[in-house]
Amino acid sequence: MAAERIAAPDSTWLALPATLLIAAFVAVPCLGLLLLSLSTGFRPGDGWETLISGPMGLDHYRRLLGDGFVLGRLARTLAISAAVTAVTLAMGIPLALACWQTRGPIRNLLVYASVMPLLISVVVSAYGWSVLLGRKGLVNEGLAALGLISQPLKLMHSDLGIVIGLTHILLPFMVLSILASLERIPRALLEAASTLGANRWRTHLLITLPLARAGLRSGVLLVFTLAMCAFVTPAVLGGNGTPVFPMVIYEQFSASFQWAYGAALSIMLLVVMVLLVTVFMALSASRRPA
Amino acid sequence: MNARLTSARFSAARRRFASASAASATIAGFPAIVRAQTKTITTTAFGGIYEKHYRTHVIEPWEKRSGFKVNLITTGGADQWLTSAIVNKARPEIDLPFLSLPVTHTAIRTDGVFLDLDDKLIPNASQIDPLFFDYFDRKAIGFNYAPYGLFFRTDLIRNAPSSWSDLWRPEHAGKILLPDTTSGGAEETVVIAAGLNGGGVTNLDPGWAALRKLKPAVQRFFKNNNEPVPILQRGEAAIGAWYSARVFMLKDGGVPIEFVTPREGAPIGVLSFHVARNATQRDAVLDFVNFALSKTPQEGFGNAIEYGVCNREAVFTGRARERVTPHNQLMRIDWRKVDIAKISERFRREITS
Amino acid sequence: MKRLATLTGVVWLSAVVGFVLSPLLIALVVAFSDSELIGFPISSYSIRWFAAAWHKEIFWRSALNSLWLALAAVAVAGPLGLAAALAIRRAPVRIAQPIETILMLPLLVPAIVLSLSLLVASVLTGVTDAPLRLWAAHSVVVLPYVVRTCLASLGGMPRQVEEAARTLGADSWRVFRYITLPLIRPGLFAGCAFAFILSFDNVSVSMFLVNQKTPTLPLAIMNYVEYNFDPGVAAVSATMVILSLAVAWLIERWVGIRKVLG
Repeated sequence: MAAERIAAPDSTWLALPATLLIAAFVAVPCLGLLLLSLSTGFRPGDGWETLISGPMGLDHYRRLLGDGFVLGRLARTLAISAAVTAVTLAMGIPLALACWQTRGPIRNLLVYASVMPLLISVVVSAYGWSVLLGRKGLVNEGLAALGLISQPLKLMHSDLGIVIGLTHILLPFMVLSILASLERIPRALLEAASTLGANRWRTHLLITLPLARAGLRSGVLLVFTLAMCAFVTPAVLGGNGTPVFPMVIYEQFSASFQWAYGAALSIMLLVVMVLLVTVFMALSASRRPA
Repeated sequence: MNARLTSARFSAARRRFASASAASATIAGFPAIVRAQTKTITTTAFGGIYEKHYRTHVIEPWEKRSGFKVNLITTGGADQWLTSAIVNKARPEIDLPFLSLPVTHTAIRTDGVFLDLDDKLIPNASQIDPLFFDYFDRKAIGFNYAPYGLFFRTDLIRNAPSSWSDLWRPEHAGKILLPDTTSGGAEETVVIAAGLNGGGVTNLDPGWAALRKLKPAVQRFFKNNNEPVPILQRGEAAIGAWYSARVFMLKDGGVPIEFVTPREGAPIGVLSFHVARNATQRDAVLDFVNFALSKTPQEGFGNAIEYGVCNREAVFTGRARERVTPHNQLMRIDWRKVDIAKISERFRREITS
Repeated sequence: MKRLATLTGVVWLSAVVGFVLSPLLIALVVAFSDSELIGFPISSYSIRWFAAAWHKEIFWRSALNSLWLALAAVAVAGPLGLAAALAIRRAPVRIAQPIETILMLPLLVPAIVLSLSLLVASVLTGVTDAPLRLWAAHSVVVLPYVVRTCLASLGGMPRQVEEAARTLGADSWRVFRYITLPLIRPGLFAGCAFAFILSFDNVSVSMFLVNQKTPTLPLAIMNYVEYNFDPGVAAVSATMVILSLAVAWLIERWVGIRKVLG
């Protein structure tokens, strides 16, 4: 006798509250920002009625595309993000491999180490680095004590400081992405390789990493996009002025009182993010899934 | 604070999604009621030595005679305080923003945020020079002023500077400290540099060119008034531009440093009160401003910090008399002719980046 | 050759672990120093900075603010995230996929854009109550993480189990209470713990939305460092590090930290 299939009640409505929350506090405000970026007569303090009834146009976007300073900052932010991605790859791959292959207390140490920067505040990390990298910080004092340098190195208040700080904060994303991929690789493959005589380096290079492609790709995407949008770390560890694009946006709202232009810059950052993700997805889809 | 969020939490548990207007009607109503009942006004001031004398000579006496408490915010900066004023104009967090250049001029050009002032609201305004009141279109009123001039370490610099152009001398390269836009003085530097090279406040291009040339010689553009202190104490920098009382504070602390009014003049920087139009305790705020501008607090503060004050009747004695330059002897820059915020922005982009 | 390769690997790995832990350790070390300024080498140690820092009203107040805010954000993100995860798991793929994408939206939008858009919306509509807009912002920021961990927990549960229970006569509520909930609980707890710490630590979204008078703890730290050079900040940072360690341990116990990132 066939068992009756009792249909499950449709529970899609359960997603409604969450979706409405996102719609109300992410989608709608972003649309508001878009509207603001199109408003040419807006002055800080105006209400939404003034915004809607006021003059509209693409003036701010035209200005943006001709603003050498802003575009230069965008390029510099892309460069910094690329550097951060490269360093997190160099650090993240060994760390992920080690987490995957070790056991016991060493594994615990490595996993905690991988995750800690994710769980502490950006401020704690940036502050810690400022103490380490300052002119009278631990690194300079240590190097001087060892007799390796005679003048303190300028590690902070520079793009180098930003790269160091962002690498610290974003490393967990790289490690965890790669680790997720690694854990799907059957052990047997590694064993087979070593039986056939390959040493550890060859095994990892030729077998493990290609199989972890998906994790590597998502790690790269995550780190790059998060580095592009980072604000706090560059603010604390970066040099004078507004070294990265998010800080230029901040400046429009806090110091220049040009909110509409700031809104246009924000939309631009959003567009760049969407482009990065789209290009990335397209590149990944054209390959065989890992 | 606790009560507000706790009750909000329970309502979230009952209803999955609280509509913004309904929740805000209940929650948002709360702070205004709470604030009106407690006798407090919120204002801002600049930190360090400024805060110290401000409290002693202005805040504490007023608190005693009015029965109100003053909540003093010293974190952030003038631009953040103005942003807060604009964002919260319907229900201000800061009843009395106390601002500095260049934010002052942006503030007086913003509509609907600040109260227009007059002699009826602030009787003591009659004792204030028009430079500090009418110049602001009566949308703000000055409290004190400060000269922006040169300083130098007497033991490290052989020839004492006497002109702004001395900053460009090659022997000072690498030892110069200048303020960034957040610290006060940057915009004046541009105008001065323009004046030295044939321009002026309406023709700043020569100034920008001169500053671009000076940029590699500057050790640091400091962002707040605390940064230069250890640098100058250690002698890592030896010459630069700053406000007089800050330099005198170092000198009195034992650092061999001097403040110089250059022969072209020292620009005047003014600190001003702006009254939030919708401040809940408006009468108390106006009373505070009136008190702060009256003779005794002005004299007390001015003599303590050794800055000029805006009340004409204030008398300076002793060392303060030597150190305070009357405002009619300081360089006046007509900021109304330019969009000073644009100068700040260009300074950040071209000079300090 | 093999040994050299292994040695290089170990050295590099130790360097990486050192890199990751050093700012945290330095906060702990400096917090215990006895001097008035932060400088090296540290000659004497004491716990006075812990006492001093936590005596400061601003740190106490902002820590409480951060605590309430984080709890409020979890109170929203928890139930909503759980419900959404259930819906996604049970719905056909063509509906589940778009819903999941929408719910991950806060991860795509840069934090600064999220924060500024809410600030602008707040100003334009005149609803400028700081706690309210902070609460909204934090709720949406942490929601995707709760959804993810719940999905990860649910992923291991075959649909047939729920169906079997229903066939045996259980109604929806009982199915949820006795079958689904115990299975999803670790994921829910881990997601909520992570949401809590993410909200507590958050700076970039909170920055533009806070009340001048009552910042959150990370913002109070940021303000403090601008004007003060003493180890008081290190003491507060060190406390936050210890808190994070505790949360990390909890998450690892419940679901494994990996699942949080999907």
